[in-house]
Amino acid sequence: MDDEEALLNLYGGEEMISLATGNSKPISRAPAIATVITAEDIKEIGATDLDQVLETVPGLHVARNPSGYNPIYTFRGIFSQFNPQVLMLINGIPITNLFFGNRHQIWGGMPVQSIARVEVIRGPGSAIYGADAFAGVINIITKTKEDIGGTEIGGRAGSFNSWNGWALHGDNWGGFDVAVMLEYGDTDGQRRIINADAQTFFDSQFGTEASLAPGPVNLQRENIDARLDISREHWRLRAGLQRRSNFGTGAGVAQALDPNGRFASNRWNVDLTYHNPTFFSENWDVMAQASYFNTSQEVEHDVRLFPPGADFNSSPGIDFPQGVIGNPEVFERHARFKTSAFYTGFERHQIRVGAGMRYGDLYDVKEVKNYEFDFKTGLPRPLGGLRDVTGNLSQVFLRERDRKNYYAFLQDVWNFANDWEFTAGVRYDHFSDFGDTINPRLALVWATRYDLTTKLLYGRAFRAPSFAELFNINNPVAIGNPNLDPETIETVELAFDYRPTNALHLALSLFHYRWDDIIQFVPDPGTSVNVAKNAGKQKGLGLELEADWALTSTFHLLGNYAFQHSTDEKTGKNAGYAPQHQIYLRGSWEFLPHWRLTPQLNWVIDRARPAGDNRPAINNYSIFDLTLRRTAIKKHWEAAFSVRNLFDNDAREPSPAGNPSALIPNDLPLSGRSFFGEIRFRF
Amino acid sequence: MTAEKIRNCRQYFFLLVWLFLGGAGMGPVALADSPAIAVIYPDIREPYQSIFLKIIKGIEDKIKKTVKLYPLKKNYDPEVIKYHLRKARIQGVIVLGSRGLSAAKDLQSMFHVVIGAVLISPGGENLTGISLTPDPEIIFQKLLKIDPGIKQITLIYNQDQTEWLIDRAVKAARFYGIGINTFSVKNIREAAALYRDILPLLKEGKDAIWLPQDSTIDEQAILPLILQKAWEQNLVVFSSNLAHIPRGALFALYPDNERMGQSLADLMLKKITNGRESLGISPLRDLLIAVNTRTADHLGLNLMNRMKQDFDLIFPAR
Repeated sequence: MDDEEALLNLYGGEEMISLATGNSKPISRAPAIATVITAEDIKEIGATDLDQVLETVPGLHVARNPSGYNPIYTFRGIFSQFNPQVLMLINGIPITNLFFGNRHQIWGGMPVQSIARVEVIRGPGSAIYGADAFAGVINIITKTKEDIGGTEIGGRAGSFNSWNGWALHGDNWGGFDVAVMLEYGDTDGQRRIINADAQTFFDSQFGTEASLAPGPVNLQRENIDARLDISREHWRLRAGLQRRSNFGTGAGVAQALDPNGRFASNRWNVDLTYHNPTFFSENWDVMAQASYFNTSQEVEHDVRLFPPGADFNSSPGIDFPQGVIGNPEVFERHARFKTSAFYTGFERHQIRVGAGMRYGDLYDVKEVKNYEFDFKTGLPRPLGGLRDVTGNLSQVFLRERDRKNYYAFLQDVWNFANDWEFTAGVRYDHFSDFGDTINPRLALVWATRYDLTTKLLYGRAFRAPSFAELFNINNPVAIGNPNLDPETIETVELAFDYRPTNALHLALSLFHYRWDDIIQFVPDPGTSVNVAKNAGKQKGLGLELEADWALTSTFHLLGNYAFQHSTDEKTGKNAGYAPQHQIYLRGSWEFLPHWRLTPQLNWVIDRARPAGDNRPAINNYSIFDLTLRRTAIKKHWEAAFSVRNLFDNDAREPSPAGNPSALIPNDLPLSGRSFFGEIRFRF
Repeated sequence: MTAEKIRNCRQYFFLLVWLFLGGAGMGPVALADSPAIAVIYPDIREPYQSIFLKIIKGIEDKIKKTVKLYPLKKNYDPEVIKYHLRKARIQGVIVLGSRGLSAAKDLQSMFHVVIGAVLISPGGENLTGISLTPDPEIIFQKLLKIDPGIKQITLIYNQDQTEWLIDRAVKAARFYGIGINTFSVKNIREAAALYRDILPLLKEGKDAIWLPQDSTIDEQAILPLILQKAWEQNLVVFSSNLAHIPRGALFALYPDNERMGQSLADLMLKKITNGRESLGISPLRDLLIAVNTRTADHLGLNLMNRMKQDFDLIFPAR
């Protein structure tokens, strides 16, 4: 018997060896519908950005907003253009902002080399996470010293003039566990063509020829990501910087192409965490954490809402020979403190209790622009040159405000009979600007058989109105309303987890949700402006089926199917945008030792148009990717080659509906075929 | 600080202590006396390699200096190894894994040889070392700690592969005052038939089933049968294979590689002191424990709150 065989007999599998040697940790299974994607999976599929990772999660589809092609993480049919219904966390700390309640308008993607794993919870999580853990929660866990275990240097080059480089280091320095991660990326971005845009429509109305369509989308950007993780005994200090610059406007901030506008953003964070699993006694697992997060939206080069030559007949001659320029800048800071404890001293109860506070401050709003809105027509008119309107409340786009939030939560996991576990949790939140909210969560978990677990879950969640929804001013299309209530959602889920053999894992979840008090900008009676109101209602149902099958020791098959049907209760019609069906398949084949080939297919099916959008239904698409990886070349080297969208299919994400018609009628084209090659050196 | 610097500082510190204590009581591990030790181990890929690196770390921690490392390629030449060992004036050779096993027998005439990280039956050959097979005594001790009510263990094993363990298992069971029923079989079919006959006779709260590390346990057919019946009848199943724990077996012991390395180093130092005599192969006593708390809850054992500190790996993770 050779050594590999002997050790396999003892440990039962390579995964178990990694667990037993402490090189990986068992993945926790919360009583929610969770998916965990590890750094290994990320390498296998050749993902270079977080969005490619998230697209593989059942029940989650990544759509695009025209502005900057920002991702819209669509969970189970819950779609909105700014996507504040999804809570994104890095190491358990929110990186969502106050301005739009999303990751940021200048998001610019997230590289994956520093990511140890991504945990995705579908469905509401407000009972633990609070505001915005609404349609789903995405928690990104970054690498620690153990995850890196030495030094890795890598580089990648590919289509669209894309260059990436990274260096990771994890070691013990003077008794401290230290991880340092640096990532750099620069790309011109894909340049697929938008045939007609908002200016095309205005050209037809006002007899101008200003539109830059047909023209390419603008997705160039430069990224710097740096992270530091220092820990010793119970203490951990983490800091991070995500710098985005030269960030293109996608299909335009006002859905009119703008090849020259550039944004930048700095997001930096620091947290100090104390975690002691045996605080008073072995029954107390206590955690306390203070964190700070600062985020900005900055303009590097004049951003044009509409191109030079735009004319809205508001003054004699061409209104905007230089184009409609608007340079909005927003700066935010967030300070948080939280403490929580698990108590396991009771025979059949595990109690979790916690409290915390958050201070969020949108402390600086700047704007330089050459237009103002005519409230009668809703169209821009010249301001008489480029002016700095910072601090001028009759001109600037947003008020500076802050928000305080205090909260407490309590959860009990009660093992009331041998195979039954009942989880009851409740969280109380007080917000300085819109009051109180209480959100419960209930979960009943039944170990039905040795290989089958059944779960019944109920959860209620809320989404705090964003500052754009509360305090937007001087924009007739979207006026804020300080009297908004939070959006709410109630979800019931039934899930089965079945592991008939060591090699096969099946999971099925069925869900129903009701989304209420949806905040929408709707026409204000008696005026010509749109004001934010709790106006919408939506309900939906669906299922997700997942399979993970190790057919042989060298071939692994993974797939999922998701179905959802969501109805806009105002119109009784399909809520639109999100795919009704989605199929994902991945094969992973180690065809020779150290050689792995991973094909994957993502098939997006049946995206209806929302009520009032009369365009024909958007085409389905399927994208096939192939990644080849060779590890352990001369022990230290690793190389990979990947082709994305191998068959060069025309894939599009829906552009927003419009009145009287969509401003970008032919939707938002995704990248065609592309390639990259990658090399890593570890020592 | 580099590993080298840390090591230098540590040596400096030990030297100070040694001078301070006048060299008294430091025993065979004192710096000046540290023998030249080499470790031979298979040059294999991750994650297997990590196991050997952890063992080597344990050895170095005990010897208190770095050891000479000889990773073996698949088709290595034993003569070349011998040449290098002699040239490096090595006194003792720790051979890890089965790749170096045949060479180890040959090296015994020239060096002190200790073998480890290999599935080898204790006794028999004239060797010194530690097998990868867990000591039944430790297994039963853990079993009774987790479920003190157990009175009887049932073991169905492959005659050719596990026979050598039986004597030791019977002795250990006697030591703890529990009964053990052992059944030797020749193949999977016999094992399956026996499990079908025996499982219905076992009693909740008193009987436990021990899954050995041999070919009687077929992952596709026999394991699901055992786990399903055990679940229905509330029987304790413990295993010698770590992968059975996430599947639903209650607990398994697996090697504590660093401590195993320390024990191998201890054995080597003892061997150097005692001369050429073989000290025999002992079963592994440096062990960690993995448990399945879902199964424990099903059995009403409520382990999490009672003894969660004692577990090294917990499935499903919380």
